[in-house]
Amino acid sequence: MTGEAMRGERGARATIIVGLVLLSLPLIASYLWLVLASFGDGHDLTWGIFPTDYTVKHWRFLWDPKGAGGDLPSIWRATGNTLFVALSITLCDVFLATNAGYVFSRWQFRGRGPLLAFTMVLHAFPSVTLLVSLFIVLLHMGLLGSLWGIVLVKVALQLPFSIFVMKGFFDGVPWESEMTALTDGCTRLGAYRRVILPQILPGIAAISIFSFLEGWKEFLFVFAFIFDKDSWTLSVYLQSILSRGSVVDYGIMAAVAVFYMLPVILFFLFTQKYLMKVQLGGVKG
Amino acid sequence: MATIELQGLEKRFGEVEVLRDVSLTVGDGEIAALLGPSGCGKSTTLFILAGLYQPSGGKVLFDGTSMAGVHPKDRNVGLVFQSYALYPHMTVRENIGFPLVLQKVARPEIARRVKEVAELAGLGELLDRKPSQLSGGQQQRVAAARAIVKRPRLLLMDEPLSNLDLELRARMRREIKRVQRETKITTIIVTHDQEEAMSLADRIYVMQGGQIQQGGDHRALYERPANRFVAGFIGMPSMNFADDLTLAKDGEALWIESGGRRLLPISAGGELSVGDLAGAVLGVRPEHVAVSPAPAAGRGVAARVVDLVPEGRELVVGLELEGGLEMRSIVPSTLDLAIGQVVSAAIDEAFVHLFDREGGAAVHHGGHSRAVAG
Repeated sequence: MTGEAMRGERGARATIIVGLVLLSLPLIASYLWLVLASFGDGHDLTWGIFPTDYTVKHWRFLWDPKGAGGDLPSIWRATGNTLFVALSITLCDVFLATNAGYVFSRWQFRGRGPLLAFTMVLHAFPSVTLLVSLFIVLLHMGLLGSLWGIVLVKVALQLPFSIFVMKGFFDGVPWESEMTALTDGCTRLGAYRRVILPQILPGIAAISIFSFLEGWKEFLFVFAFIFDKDSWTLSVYLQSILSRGSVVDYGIMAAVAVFYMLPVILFFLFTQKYLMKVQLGGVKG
Repeated sequence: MATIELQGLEKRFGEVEVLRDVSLTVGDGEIAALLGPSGCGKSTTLFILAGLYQPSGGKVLFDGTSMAGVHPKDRNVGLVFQSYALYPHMTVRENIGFPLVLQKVARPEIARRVKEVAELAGLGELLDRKPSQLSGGQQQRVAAARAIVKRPRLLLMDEPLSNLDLELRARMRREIKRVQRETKITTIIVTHDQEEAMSLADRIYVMQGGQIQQGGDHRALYERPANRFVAGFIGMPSMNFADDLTLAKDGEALWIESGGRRLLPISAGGELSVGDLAGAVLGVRPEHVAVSPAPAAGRGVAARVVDLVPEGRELVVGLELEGGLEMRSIVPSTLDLAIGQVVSAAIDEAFVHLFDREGGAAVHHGGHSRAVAG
């Protein structure tokens, strides 16, 4: 390649990068503001975004149970609740979706096609429309006000998508692979564990990430079905800071928001290569 | 290593009958081929042998012991699929060693046997690669190595060479044969490729419509086909058939006619002159239709050249006999022919087969066939 062509290519690349940076600037700026505001002291700002004085007092809630205000429970309690919800959803979802996906992919049973289509229809319902009916269902099940109720509802709503993803992954594992495993000396279960499971791991990783994030960010159902502050998750915790009294303490709000985001960002950084592998395999047969 | 026997095997999938009364025997250390067009039930038979399908009726015997209710993992059978079905998440070494790991063979022993089989299959340097990094031929070798590493009683191969290109196929055929000779594993190969079946197998079972049409070595199938299906299926280009047969007399000479036109002369007092020609279909292989550039004379009949397909050493000639009957002939490619040319096509009664018009069963083989295969 000549020097000139190289320069030309570099120029084009630089233009693209500058363009992309400009486009993402509003987004970067708002997150930057959030982080800076959580450490800013007072209302004096340079360039409208950088605080003049810095403090960690907004982060008091990390070590002081009353740090975010006396009327709120400990943030660790809320974090624990959020983690419980997110992990329970993930575990249930992965367990059910892998089993259902295997059956949908491997077994020809009556009503398989309609059932598969129906799961997709289920996924199309906006959760808000189900709010009242779910309230009544949970009430009669005695799960209203319980985080288990939230897990149940979220798993039910998340399952169709996860099943669909898992079916696609199972479709990608040839029948011959399983049959060879049997003649090689595996039991049916052994073939599943030793031969099929390793081949669908990216799928399991993908639906785990999706379900975990769904649980982590869930607001609506917790807001509607949880009445005890001790059962709050972080999303409702954050909302309560925004909505209490007439003056919002943006310092604390920003600190809690950053705290809420951090695990997700870290989680995403480590798992994004699996997310890239998700394919919504078409319906075969 | 074992003697394999199928007795009156039946298989139905719901309403569909896939196998009907399939019986065969494969001797210890032999290679047998199940040959037939797709959908004939040959793969189903293979999967029943492996234990992947349960037969609806009949018996599967390994060394005289019934395999009913015996799980695939306990049959000690090696299986090679057309798609190879290698485990993508394992290296070549792990793929080949997998059956031994399942048998809980000690680690050093696994390493030793994997190395041994890998060398036999010519995979020495590839052991640490993943299947996706291998060519089709190499994947085929890995699949075969994995199937024989546990020293199975029976090796089953489902269209093992169909995914390979022509040259590689010929080489792999020789290698399968070599490895089989060295290991003496009883082997059953399923294929739709007669060349593959003939070059590999000691004994070939031709299947069609879920039934075995004929079993025998390649010469028996070729020279003495049991019915019209086998006759048409074995041999490339396939056998010529002529219908609507009658016997005609011209002075001293006797002729078989097809559709009222002369086809071939026959000798008086022979089988053909007394048989029931009306209920029969005549078959003759292309190499037994002699073509001479001179117009019809003596024993030949007039035919027009309608098609010429050069195949290197030979030339496949499409002929149209008087009355519209089409035949194919194989002649040396040195013969100078042109499309439209009128030539003489001669058929010798010693090479003629007759099949029952209704059932298709062979009712007569020419003297040549009987001399060869008798």
